Amino acid sequence: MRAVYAKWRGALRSAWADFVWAAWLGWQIDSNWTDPWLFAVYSIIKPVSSSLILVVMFLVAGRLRDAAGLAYIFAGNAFFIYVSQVLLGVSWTVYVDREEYRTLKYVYLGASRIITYLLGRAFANFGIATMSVAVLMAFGRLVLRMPLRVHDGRWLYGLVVLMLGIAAAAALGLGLAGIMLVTANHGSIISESLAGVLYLLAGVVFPIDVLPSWLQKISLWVPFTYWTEGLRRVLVGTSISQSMARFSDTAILAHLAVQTAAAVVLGLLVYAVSERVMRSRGLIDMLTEH
Amino acid sequence: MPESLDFAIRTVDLKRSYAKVPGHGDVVWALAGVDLAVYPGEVFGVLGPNGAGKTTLIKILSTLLLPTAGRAEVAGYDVVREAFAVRRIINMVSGGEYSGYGILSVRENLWMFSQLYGLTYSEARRRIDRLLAVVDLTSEQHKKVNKLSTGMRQKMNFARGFINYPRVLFLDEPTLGLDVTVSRRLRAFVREWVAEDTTRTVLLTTHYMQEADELCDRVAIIDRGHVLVCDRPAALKEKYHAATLEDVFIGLVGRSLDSGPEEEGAAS
Amino acid sequence: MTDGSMPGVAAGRMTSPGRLAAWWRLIEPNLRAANARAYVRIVGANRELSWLVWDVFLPFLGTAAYVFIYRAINAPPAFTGFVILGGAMTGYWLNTLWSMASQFYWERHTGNLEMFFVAPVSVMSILLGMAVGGMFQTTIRSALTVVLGIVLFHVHFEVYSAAGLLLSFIVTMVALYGLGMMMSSLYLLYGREAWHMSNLLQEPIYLLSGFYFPVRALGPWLAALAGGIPLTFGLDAMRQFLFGPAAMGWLGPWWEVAILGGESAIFLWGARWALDYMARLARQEGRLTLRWQ
Ligand SMILES: Nc1ncnc2c1ncn2[C@@H]1O[C@H](COP(=O)(O)OP(=O)(O)O)[C@@H](O)[C@H]1O
Ligand SMILES: [Mg+2]
Repeated sequence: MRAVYAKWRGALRSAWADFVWAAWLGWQIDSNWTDPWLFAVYSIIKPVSSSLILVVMFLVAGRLRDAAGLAYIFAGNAFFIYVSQVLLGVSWTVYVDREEYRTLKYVYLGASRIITYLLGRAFANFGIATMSVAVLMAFGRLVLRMPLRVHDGRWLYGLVVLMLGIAAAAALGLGLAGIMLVTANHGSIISESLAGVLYLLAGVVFPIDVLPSWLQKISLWVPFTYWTEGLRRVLVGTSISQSMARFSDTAILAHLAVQTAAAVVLGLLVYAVSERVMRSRGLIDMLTEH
Repeated sequence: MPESLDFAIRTVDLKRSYAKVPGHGDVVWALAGVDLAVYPGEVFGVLGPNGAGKTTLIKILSTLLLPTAGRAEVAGYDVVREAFAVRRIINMVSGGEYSGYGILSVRENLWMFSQLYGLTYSEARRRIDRLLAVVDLTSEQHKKVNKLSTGMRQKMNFARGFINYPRVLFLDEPTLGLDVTVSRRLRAFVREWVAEDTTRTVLLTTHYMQEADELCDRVAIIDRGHVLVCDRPAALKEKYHAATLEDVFIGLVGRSLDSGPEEEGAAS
Repeated sequence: MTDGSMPGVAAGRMTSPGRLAAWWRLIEPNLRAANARAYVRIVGANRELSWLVWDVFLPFLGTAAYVFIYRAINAPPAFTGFVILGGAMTGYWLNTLWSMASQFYWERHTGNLEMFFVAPVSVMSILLGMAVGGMFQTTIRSALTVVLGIVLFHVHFEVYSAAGLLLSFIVTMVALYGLGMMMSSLYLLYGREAWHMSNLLQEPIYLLSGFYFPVRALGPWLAALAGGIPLTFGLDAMRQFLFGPAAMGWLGPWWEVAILGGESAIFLWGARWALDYMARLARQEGRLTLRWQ
């Protein structure tokens, strides 16, 4: 019993060390081209621009007065940055390490667990996402005067929901990393595409009510649908989606938890299968630019 | 018109420095005043350990890098002022390197490069057929390059260097990492190539003694950016009473060729 | 062998047929190089059908999200058309950023960049080839996006002026790819820094150039600033030729076409100059090759 415990503790400790090392490396690689301040500005310009597109769309449609409606899509869009950043961060490392630095095979040989390594490399992306979300929330509340705050003091609920969604994104990112192990370098397009699909299906910037009904059915099988809904209930206080109204807060959390677990299983499975394929076909150091 | 047709390659007090740390004053001299004269019809070897300045010399002669001081001409054209004229008559191969597009086949890649020299389709086809045979890739010609082994890609890159039938060809460690049989085959072709048309010239760098001895009409031994000696391999061995070029080098420098310079440079 | 002759140099005092021939001898290799580089793009990128998924279907879902936003807030139907047009044109901007401007970054890594510089052709021809190949490839994708938009969202394009539409599209392309060529010069000297510049120019340009809404909404100052990116005027002109008054155009569409013509000239000339200048710096600093070669 003690031996098992010690073994687990040792494994955890070494995984943690790998994670920290990879996170450090990821930060170095992401940010070493400029000074931290410029890097921070650079990192948030993209998400701020995307959010402003939504604001201008409201403006041209003459709906800028609808503060709750705008807050609804603004918050959804802001928090979705976590999903796209984590998906990208976990997966893209495979291409960068394989084709740009050509170090993937050494990482694969060296790091005790490549999964820990990939997650660690994405930590910088998690930080960037946090920073962007904070800036957007402040901007939305102070400049655009949207009713964005933690309503009714539901910090704990909001935090649990937030973390579950990030875990689901990391798991799917691992699945993507697996796919990237066996495919040509398409840049960030694969993870951006998946993020795009989820963006649409989860009703990040509109209530899923406007989707065709067959798409709505699929939406209910996407953890991020519940994730954005839960976050919005906390941050905007209300929800304008009729189809989601029938879920209680507890039901939202339960669905999210179960589907996140499923995402973890799926991500690990895809990764494991892909890794086998990669090894049998010897794709670890392929170069595929054109 | 070229100033002088006597030399295929000529450098006069050629120097090149690199910043040790970009943006700081401290520099390394990769070439510290190199004088060379290579004649048409020669296979000329530049022999030296890692970091001696061989690649730097080739980059300057092939117009990819500007010298810091001094002069260099290829077939009478100045590599700085008449770079475009130089490019018409040269080509270059770096061993251990492979260019090209992974998603194209070997043949398509060679065709792509032939088009950089304006070859007609029929002429390109003829030359590609010949060169594929030379590097023994005829049966692999329709394979996509990203499915090839590194050795095969290197062979394709070697063939690429001849595609425009360059008057002056630069080979930077062309057999680096290739096996003995393949290396021998490629060396034989280099000889054949120059024998076929004596207006052609090959300048090749290497740190394999054997290669220089076997292949080159004359060699220059360089170390830390200086040319130490330059002559026919046999003459060098005789002059320094040495059995091999390696011994000539050790006699001159006091260390073996493979030891490399004290300050570690780039790999290769 | 025929090599080693120097056409062009002695051409100055020839009779005019001779001059024409010499001129052609100078141009021909460049056209061949452009053609070959375009071939890599066209054949390479379409060899595997997976691009249908990655370059058409999945990006379309992102575009669809914007359609649904307008639907959710009950915007007029023409707005759906704006989004589809913007979605179709997104491909060209991404192509310019990632397959024109930053392409040299990859070419250097794969050792091709130095081969282009050792060869007796202008880098502009290589870039022209990339542009033609990229445009071809992107046009197929964009056309499919439009088709999907028409089928799935019943977008209705009026086409107020077919000639205007075609012309505005063509000048937009010339100006856009000219800009891409100019930006590519940065990659001769810089690596990751330039890459980050491209990355930074994605979403902010979607915003500033008005990919999903009439650019007039940004106000004249911002719109004028964004006008430096050819797609700003290009999209606005195309919207006006397609949707007429519903497009809420900024300047008259023909004015916008004229401005784009001017931008084409500036960017192409600028590209030539910048490439020459940066290539010289790159040769000085040894940046055309990887250090470890
Ligand atoms: N881009 C560069 N920046 C800084 N130093 C360089 C660069 N390229 C080469 N050097 C240095 O110049 C010297 C000569 O290098 P090189 O010409 O590559 O030698 P060789 O090809 O004989 O091995 C070495 O000390 C090397 O470290
Ligand atoms: Mg070298």
